[in-house]
Amino acid sequence: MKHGFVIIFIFFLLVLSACEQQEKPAKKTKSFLQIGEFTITRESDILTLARDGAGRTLALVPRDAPAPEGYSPSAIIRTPVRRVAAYGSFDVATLRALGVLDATLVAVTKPQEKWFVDDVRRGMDSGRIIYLGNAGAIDYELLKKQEPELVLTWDPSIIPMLNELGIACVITSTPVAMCLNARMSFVKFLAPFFNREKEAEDFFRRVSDSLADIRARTAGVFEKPRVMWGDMYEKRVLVEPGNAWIGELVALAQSGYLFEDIYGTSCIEISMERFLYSGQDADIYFTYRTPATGASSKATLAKLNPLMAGIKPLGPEGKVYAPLPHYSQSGDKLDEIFTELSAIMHPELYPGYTLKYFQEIPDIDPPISSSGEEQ
Amino acid sequence: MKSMSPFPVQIYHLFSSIRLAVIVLVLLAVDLCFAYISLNGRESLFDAMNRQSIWVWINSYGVENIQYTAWFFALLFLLSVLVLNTLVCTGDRLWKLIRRWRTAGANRQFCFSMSTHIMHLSVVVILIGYLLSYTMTRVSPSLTVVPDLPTKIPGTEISLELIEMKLPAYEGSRLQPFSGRVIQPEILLRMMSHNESRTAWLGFNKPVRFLGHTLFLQKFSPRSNSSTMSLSRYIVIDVRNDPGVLFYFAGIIFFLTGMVGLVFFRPVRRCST
Repeated sequence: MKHGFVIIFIFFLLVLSACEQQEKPAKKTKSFLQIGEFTITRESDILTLARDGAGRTLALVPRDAPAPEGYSPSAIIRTPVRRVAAYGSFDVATLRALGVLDATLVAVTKPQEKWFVDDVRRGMDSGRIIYLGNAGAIDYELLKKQEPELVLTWDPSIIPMLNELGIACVITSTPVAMCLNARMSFVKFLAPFFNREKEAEDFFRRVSDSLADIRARTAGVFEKPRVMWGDMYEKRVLVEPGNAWIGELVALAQSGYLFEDIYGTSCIEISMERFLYSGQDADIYFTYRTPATGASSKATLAKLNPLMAGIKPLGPEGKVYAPLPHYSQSGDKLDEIFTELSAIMHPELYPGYTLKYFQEIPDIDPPISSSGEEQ
Repeated sequence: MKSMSPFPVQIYHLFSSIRLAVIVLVLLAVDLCFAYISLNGRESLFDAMNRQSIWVWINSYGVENIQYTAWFFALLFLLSVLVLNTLVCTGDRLWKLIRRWRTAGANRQFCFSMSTHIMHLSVVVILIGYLLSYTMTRVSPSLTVVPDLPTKIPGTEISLELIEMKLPAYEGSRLQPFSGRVIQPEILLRMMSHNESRTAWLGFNKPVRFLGHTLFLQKFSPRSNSSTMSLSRYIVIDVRNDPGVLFYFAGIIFFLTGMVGLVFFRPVRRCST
C-alpha cells in the first residue's frame, strides 16, 4: 500500500511537471490572461478585473452597466475609456498600437519638442493634448481641467491625489523587468480598457510573425555575437537584466547576452567590475545614451568614462550602437525594432538593411565644418 | 472502534503509521527539489498568492502555469497528509497516555511524553494558521501614502497619515553599492479609526498592527537624499487582515512550551558507580 502511494505520487508529480507550455486549444471564453505581472480576468460580460503593475485590482465595467460592489469608486473604470493622460512613451505607443491615441490621449508629461510621434505633436498643436509638466511634479490643476478618466503612470506617489480628484490610475511599470512575452502582450492588457481586443490581437500577431522570421533566419547560425546593453554613469552602472525582453530577444536571435545571469528590474544596477569584466568578451554594445547625451563616438564614450575604454566593443573590432531619439517612442513598431536588433547582431542575414531606430557610432566624432555642421 | 467498517479502520491504520510520516517527509523533500527547479526566475507567479485568496490564485495563476506550479499542488496534498498523520498519531498516543495517567498519575515520563505531543500538535496549529492565511486573508496591495493627505484602507474605516520619514543614508563601507543610499527607512504613521488613533514607526522588518490589520512597508521614496531620480516623498504599503497570524503565534508558543518540557522533563540517567 505504501509503495503504491509513493509510485502514484511520483507519477502525479512527473506528469504535471512534464506538461509543456504548448499552445492550448482556444477556450470558448478566456477568463484569465497573464501578461508578466499584469493580469486580466474576465469575470462576466459586464465585469473584467485588471491587475496593474503594482498589484492593484481595477474593475472594468461597461458605461451602461451597474457599478460592481466591493470596489472603491477610483478602482472602477468605465469602458471604453474616452480620455487618458499618459506618463510613459511606451504607454503612448501602446495607445497608438490600439488605434485610440487620436481619440483618447489628452495629456502627457513631455513637452512638445521632445515628441517624435506625429499624432502627439499634432494633438499638442491643436491643444487637444496638453503638457502636464515634468513627470516628477505634474500640475494637478491642468490635469483636472483635462478631465481624464484614466491616468497611465509609473509613479505611485500621485495615486492619493488622483483618488481625491476621482480619477482612476493604472501603474504600467513593474518591479521586475518585462520579459519578451510581456513586452509584446502589454497591448492586450490595455485593450479591454478601450474595447480594442481585436486590434491588440492583430498587433501581437504582427510582432509574433517578426519573431518567427528572426527565429527562421537565425536558425543554424554558427557564430554567436556576444551582446551587452547598459551604461556606466558617474556613480552608477546600469544594465538590462537577463530576464528583460532584450536578454530574451538576444538569445532568440542566436546570440549571447552577457548579463543573462542578472535578474531584476529594468535598468538594474550592477558593479562596475562586472560591467568591465563582461565588456572584455562583448562584440556588440548597446548604450542607453543617445548621440545628444554623449554617445556620439567611441572616443567620446571613452572620454566620458576612461575605465570603459577597456571594453572590447570600444576597440577597433567592436561595435557600439546608440538608440536614436525616437526609439523610446516607437513601442508600436516592436516588430521593426526586433528585426533591426536581429539585423545588428547578424548583418550577414539582412543584406542592405538600413537602420531606423539605432545608429552605429563611429570611432571618433566627425570633424565640424566651418559652418558648424558635422561632416 | 468496533462499529467501524473495515475500510475506515484501514484508513485509520494508514494514517496512524509512523512509516507514512517518514514516506511523506521523504516525498516532501523530493517535491521541494522539483520546486527548486520550477521556481527558477518565476517567483512572481507565487508572489501573486500574497495578494489574493488561494482559491483565486489556483483558478488563475496555478492552473494556467501548471508546469511550474505542480510542485505546489503536490506540497498542499503532502502537507494535508502530514497534518492528518500527525493528528491521528498524536491522538492515538495521547489517548493511551491519558489512560495511563488516569491509572498511574502524572510523573516525569508522562510530562516528557506530553511535551513531545504538544510539539507535534503545535506544528498542526501552525499549518492550520497557514491554511487560514491563504484562504481567508483580505489584502489591500500597494497602498500609497503621502504626507498631508490621509489614505483610507479600502473596505475599512481606517485612515493612514504619513507624519515623518527618517531616511538615514548608509554610511558603512561593507556594502559599497549602497553607499549614500537609504536601506533602513523609518516611517512614522498615524492610524485612525472612529474610536481609536495611534502612531507607530514602520520599517521593512517592522510591520505595524492596528485593529487586526497588519501594515507592511513595500517601498519608499526617495531612495537617497541626493537622488537624481524621483524626489517625491511617499511610501507604498501592503495591508493584510490575516486571521492566521494568531495561530502562528499560538503554535510557536505551544512549540516552545513543548520544547522546554522536553528539556526539563528529559529522562535522567543515573550512572552506577
